[in-house]
Amino acid sequence: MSPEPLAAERHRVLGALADDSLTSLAVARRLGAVPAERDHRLLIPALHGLEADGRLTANWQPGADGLPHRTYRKR
Amino acid sequence: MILGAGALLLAAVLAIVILLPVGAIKLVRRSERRLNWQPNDDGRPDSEASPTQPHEVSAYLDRLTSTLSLPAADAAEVRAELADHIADSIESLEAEGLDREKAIRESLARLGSPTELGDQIRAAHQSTRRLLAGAGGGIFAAGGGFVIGYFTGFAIAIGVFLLGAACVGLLSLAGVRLFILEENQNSLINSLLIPTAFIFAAAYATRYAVRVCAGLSRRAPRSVAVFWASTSAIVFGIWAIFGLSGPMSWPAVVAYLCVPIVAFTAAFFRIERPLLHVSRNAVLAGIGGFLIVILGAGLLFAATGSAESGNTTLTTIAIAHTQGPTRGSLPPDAPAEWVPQGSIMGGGVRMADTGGDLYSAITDQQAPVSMATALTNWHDLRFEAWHWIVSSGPNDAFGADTRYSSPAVTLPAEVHPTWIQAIFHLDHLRDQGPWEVILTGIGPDGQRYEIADCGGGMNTQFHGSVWDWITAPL
Repeated sequence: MSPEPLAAERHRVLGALADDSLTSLAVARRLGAVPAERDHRLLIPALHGLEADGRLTANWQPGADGLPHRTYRKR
Repeated sequence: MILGAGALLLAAVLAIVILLPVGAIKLVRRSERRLNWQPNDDGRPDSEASPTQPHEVSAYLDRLTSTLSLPAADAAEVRAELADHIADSIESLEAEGLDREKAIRESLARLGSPTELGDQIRAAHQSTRRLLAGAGGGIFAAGGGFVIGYFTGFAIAIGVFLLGAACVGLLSLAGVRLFILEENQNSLINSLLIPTAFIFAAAYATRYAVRVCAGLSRRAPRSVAVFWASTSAIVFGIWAIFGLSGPMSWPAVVAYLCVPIVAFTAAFFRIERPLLHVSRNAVLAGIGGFLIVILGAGLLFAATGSAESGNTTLTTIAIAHTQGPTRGSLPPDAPAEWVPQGSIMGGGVRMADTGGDLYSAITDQQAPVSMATALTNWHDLRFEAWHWIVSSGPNDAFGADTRYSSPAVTLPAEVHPTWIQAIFHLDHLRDQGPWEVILTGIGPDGQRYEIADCGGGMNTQFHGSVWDWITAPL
């Protein structure tokens, strides 16, 4: 896969996160308004890449259901 | 000025001996938290333990995980996160009205091929920045591991030696004599200490490098092991064969040649398992004890060695023998009429500056004549080093070793106005043992004769690198 779509996804993810702490699916929902049938195949790599680059931090935090979920937040 | 340089040197040694290993241990432990993660180590869910996970999802995650090639903690984290993501996605789609089967298929379809997604995630984790961090950390950890391994190997070698000495002592008390330990045992033990320590050092350095590099670069240990195994085998192999110089013997040469093999193997052998760690206090106590021993030995050496620094005269230990020396194949003594009585005397001295042994013959100091005059009857003058047997008692045989029919080394004599000389490097001969050096020459009758005995009788041991040993004359 060429890097351009992934770079674009990373840009969109950063925009969607704002100052919130969100799970990957919550990020997908924020992005999902653009294409209704949006696929997630670039979402997780984009999140992990941004975390590896130090642009995001990730933590396991308990959600409303009491279970731990991995959430992302801008640095 | 000298004090300042000494303090700097001491600080550098302390940094290498203490800070480098401590830093390396910290790095390794940090990496091992990533490499040896177990479910629920840090409170994150264990996706594999979930009984409600649909079979399709488990199969998808299995295929994805198999392509990740990440450290255990990262792989488990990715799997747990994706399991959570898929479960939420299924729940969300079911809430939109899809039945469960369709919701599962749709959720997985949105993530695409598990192998492609796995490759993308792996690429995201294994960034160039992390690779550089892994390489740098690996080199640092290799340095620390080398120091730790060296001390460990040295301690083990000394321990084995002490244990062996105790066993030999006990066997001797019981009347059993071990043939293998009767000859040259000190030389053999000396020659084996450094290679033993070096083998451990190379193995530790390689394993530390692999573990730290894998942890920092987010790669599975075996995927970086190939690089470190090859690099270590080449670097430590070259170092062991060409760079290390010291007492040498065949067992030591074999041990040194094992270094690249051990370094290569250490990168793979049970590399997924955590390294053995001892507590920091034990390490510091061990290093401190070792330094005290080294310091004590150094002071003792300085106290006993300072008085005899410089050149050492090489002479046979004088023992009143009941019989004369065996001559073996030595040339016959020169007829007295061809050598002015008392005009030529031989002697030897070990040269501290070159490491060589200077053997010379001088004309009589009481009635000096030029060397040219003293040797009028002679030509083709040369010094010959012969294997020698040194007796320990007055009734023991001594003299030329009759197993040899020719000298081990011959050197042409450098002729000076009142002396002649040659410099031997007997410690570069594989064949160890006492030597006797004589001055010989061709007399008027065309025969070679011994003109002067220059002494010797010192036990030699090969000093040099493995390469020196391999290329040395027999």
